[in-house]
Amino acid sequence: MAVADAAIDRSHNTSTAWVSRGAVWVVLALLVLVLPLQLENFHAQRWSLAVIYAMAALSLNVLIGYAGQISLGHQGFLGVGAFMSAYMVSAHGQTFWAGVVVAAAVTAMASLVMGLVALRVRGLYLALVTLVFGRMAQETLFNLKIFGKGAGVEAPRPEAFATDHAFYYLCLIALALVLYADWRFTKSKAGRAVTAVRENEQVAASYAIPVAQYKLLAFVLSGVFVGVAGALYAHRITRIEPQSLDFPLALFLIIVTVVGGLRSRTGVVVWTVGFTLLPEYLADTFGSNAPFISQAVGAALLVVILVFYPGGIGQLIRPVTRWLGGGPFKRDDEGGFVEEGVRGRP
Amino acid sequence: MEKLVQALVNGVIFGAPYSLLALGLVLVYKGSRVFNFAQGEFGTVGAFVTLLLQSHVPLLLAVIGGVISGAVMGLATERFVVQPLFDAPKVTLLVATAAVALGAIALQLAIGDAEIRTLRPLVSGDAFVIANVPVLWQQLLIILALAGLALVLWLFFTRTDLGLAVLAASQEPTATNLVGISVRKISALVWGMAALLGAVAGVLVAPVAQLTPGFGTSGLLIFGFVAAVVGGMTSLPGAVLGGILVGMVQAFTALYVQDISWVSDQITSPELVALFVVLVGVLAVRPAGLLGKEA
Repeated sequence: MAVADAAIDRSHNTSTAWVSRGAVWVVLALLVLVLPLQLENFHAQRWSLAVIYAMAALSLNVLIGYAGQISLGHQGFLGVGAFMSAYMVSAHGQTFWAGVVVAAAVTAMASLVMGLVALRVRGLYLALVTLVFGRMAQETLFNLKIFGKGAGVEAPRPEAFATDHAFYYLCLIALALVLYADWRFTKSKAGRAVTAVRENEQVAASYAIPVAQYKLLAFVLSGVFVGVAGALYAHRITRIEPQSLDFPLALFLIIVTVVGGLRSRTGVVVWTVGFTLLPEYLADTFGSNAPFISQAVGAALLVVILVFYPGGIGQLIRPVTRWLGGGPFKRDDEGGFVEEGVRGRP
Repeated sequence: MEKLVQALVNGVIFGAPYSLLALGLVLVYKGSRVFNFAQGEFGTVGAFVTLLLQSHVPLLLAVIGGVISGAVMGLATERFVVQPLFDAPKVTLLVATAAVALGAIALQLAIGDAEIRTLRPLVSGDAFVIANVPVLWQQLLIILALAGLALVLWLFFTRTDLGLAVLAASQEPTATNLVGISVRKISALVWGMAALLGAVAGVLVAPVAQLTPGFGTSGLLIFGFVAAVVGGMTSLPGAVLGGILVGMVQAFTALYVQDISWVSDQITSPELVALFVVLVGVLAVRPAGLLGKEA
């Protein structure tokens, strides 16, 4: 039936369809690349934050979506990247670029250690270990004497990207690199191996996939992504303080990742950006009631999306993304869950 | 010697609220294999309702109202969030309960902004003093409530048919349905009971803590989870034990480690480091927790 439909319906492949597709692409590009230039500085600041969160969410997507490992302490890893980069720049006089590299390397290492824990502690139990790690990172690690005992660390921006607008483009470039790396990863043998390990470790092992190594690889990749995000996070506000890396941030990250749609890059990025900007702009509109409205709206939206679109925003917008990629505009027939995700039994 | 007794007494005082919270978490996990992130908010909502009621009705009635409101919130969560997501991956459910918590915090912010309040204790004043540690009546009440509720739960699961039905539903849902027990009703029952426990924890702990929007989540929930997991996520005695253990870790670190000048010079909150080490250590040796088994 589906095959017959596809054979008859070629309307998505006509030249008109390609022209309208191109028009939508141009509008999107204008929105992302040109619109911020027209806006004031603080808009660019907000948009940078949204892009940085998108990178952190993609990092979480590697862990939860691809590898099936839940992290509830991702703000801790974000903080490791942020503090390492800030520390390299302000205490050792390194350049911003060296700071980013060190941040990515150290965060990857920290994430690798968490991966070693994950080899033994599984499922929701691992989630809890990461949760406590995040809390400990915020209240102890980032309060170490070398990090100013809670006062935070200065994190100046690189000279070439000192203005808010330039920094926004820097974040965009980083996001593009992360997206590219993520895409290549999912298309590689390693990506398929990680998926196999998530679905069933015994079966994967019987196909000669070294289970432990690929699990650790997923942790390292996730660490690199979030390390880069962390470095940009610190330099965006030119100062990093432990207070901003609290548990609600971890909750925020896991919420945008799951609601965005596990294993859906577009969904994760779209929803992270939307869910970061929505409260800010609601606050502009509603003034003092903002915290209540944005949180209540956010929570209600979350439940509604999860109940009606368990595959998240990625599932909701799939017709659009498929059409933009040259396919027909139609819903997934299977509905419901695309795949069984992280299993509950530890 | 006095220091040791101090640490032990403090450990129990710190730990009892965690145990109460952990009992609710374990109950939900037994019933539906969900890590319930809304558990702390059942308590905070209960405490806030008590706060709203206490100026209009006698305190005891206000407390009862608070507990009931927490339980109602639990039932509503089960009906409108957990049921529709019955077949969803567990991480989705985890996120959904977290959303319930966020929504509840938003409501509390709307009612009482970010101000710090204190709830009146049911019984005020010191009960007694051990080793220079004054024990408040309210703290004693928390410990007694913990002991009483743990006993009731133990009787429920070992002596009643309904308790047996809950265990059956958690182990083998399909077979349980086949013998005529409604798994959905059991799920509602479990969530109602867990929310009741959470609400009791909230209204009892709020007078000895600072009642701010979301205090159940930011102050209690993480430690409650550690307690539940260290004790064994499926074991009710484990939850009580785990809570006391977490309290002990905090009390001992505060009394013995905090004073070492190198430690206080280099780091803050050493108790969280200790807790992390204990958690990873216990899970490394016993992945199912101290008293947990797969059931």
